[in-house]
Amino acid sequence: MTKMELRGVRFRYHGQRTDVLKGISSVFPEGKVTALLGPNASGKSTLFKILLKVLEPSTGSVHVNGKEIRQLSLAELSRIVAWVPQEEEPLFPYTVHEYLMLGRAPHLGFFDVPTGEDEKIINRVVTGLGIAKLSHRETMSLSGGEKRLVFIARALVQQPEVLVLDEPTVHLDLRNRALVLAAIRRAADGGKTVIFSTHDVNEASLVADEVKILNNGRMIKQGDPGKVLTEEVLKGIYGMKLVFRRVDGRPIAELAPDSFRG
Amino acid sequence: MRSLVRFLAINAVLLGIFCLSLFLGRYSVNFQELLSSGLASEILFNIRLPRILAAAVLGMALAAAGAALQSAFKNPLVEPSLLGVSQGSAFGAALAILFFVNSPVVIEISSTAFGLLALLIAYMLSSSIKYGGKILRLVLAGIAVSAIFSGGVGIIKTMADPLNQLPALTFWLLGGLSGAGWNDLLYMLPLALCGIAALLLLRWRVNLLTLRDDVTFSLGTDPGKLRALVVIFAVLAVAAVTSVAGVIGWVGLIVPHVARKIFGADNSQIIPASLILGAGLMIAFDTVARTLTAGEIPLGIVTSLCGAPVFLLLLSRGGES
Repeated sequence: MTKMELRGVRFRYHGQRTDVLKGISSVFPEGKVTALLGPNASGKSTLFKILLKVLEPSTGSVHVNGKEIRQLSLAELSRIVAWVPQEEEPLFPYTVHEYLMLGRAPHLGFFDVPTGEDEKIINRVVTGLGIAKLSHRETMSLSGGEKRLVFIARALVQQPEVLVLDEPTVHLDLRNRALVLAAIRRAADGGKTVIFSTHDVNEASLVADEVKILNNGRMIKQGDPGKVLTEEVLKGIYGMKLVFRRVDGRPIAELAPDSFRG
Repeated sequence: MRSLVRFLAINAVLLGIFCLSLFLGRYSVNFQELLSSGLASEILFNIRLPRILAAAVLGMALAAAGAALQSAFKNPLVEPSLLGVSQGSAFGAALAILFFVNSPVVIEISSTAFGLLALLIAYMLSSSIKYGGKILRLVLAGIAVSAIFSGGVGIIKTMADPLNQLPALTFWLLGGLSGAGWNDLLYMLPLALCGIAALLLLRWRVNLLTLRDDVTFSLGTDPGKLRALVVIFAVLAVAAVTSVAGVIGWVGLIVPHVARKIFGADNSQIIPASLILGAGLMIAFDTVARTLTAGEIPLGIVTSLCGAPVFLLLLSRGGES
């Protein structure tokens, strides 16, 4: 199992005066689901880009299983860490099967074409996620919930040890949310380290083993959801009146009825 | 399995066009004559065969480059002339015609060199443009480079000797394989095949360029480097064939779309299919160019004239073939 760790990571975009990430040290525990909460512009996207080596930290380092990712090639890293963006619209109308095949790229040589072995891995993944019947549909014709599951499938086909997802349930109805969250939970129960960002406090408390709150480039709270997600912390971050309660010990927060009437 | 049948079908069509084209022409040849008459076999093997093979290579290079570039630039409207390569090649040829009107080798070398130079300038210019994303910048730079070189061609036209150089120049610019022999085929073959072979090897990986750049990155491939590689090989193939045949439009744009209509979206099928369809279509167009009238219609005119309707017909036909 694989843990991911940030050590004193700072990042500043070229030509800007302030750091987007202001010295973050944090461990994403192995085989657990970590939810990354934080208001818009708190630095979540930048943090993800650094985990994926799309951006290099200005100072500090990122480690996977104790090894610095700077020392891994892009191909090596892609066999360990997989990425699921919120939205993905391929240029041409690939079938789901063709699209999922692209997830095998990290395991294939530069001039290779996928084989029957890759086919078997795809079949295992789609069966596990219950989307085998979608294989011959065009990706563009899928519903929002189906699409999101297909994105997750593409990342799982990569056979990664760490799964990073950007707001995987955004724009989905309740049923599809549950399906996506279940897929995330299963991945972690199967031994993968899962990191996902969300704006939904309840979602974080429902599926995550660990919650981290990023605010203004700093990791201000991290730990067990029941302990981190308290009324004071949430009010502090969002500056809004909230209705806060606990269901089976899990924190639930919603906007208070009078919070948007000025 | 179904795509295998389709591949066999388009190969059979290619073979049919090839044979038909070999026996069609102003001097009609049939099998008996071929065995008995020296003139017939001379015409077949030294005039028609090299020209048909040149047309095949031309079609393959343009179509495969078109398919690869459409993916590389995430834009289904891209064709090989987009990056200024065609106009650069045309300028190189025009310059050579002005100074060495009777030397086809010099014309071809100059044309290829300027085609590649145009790409290089477009690439360097694109980094200085402060507007839009990487791809848009490159396309804009390509348009600018095209305009500059086509202006250059215009100036050379005004300087050309109207009796000798200007007709040669005009005919070259209209594009065609008139008089193309074994030598011309040999000039364009090494570079064209090098480009085509590389695109064929990269046929599956090219798919990664049609995804978001951050996803391509997370799949272990640097999209910038892969894109540069694909563009270089595509342009190499296009510059090589353009140096012999002139600027031929439409085929690089339409053939990949026809291939997608038959084989779907996956480039590991589209690039090989574009090679076969491109060869077949170009042989057919070139046969029309040399047989339809008593004279020779420039190939570039035939491709636009026939290409556009064929394109509309194929894309407007509902349902999968």
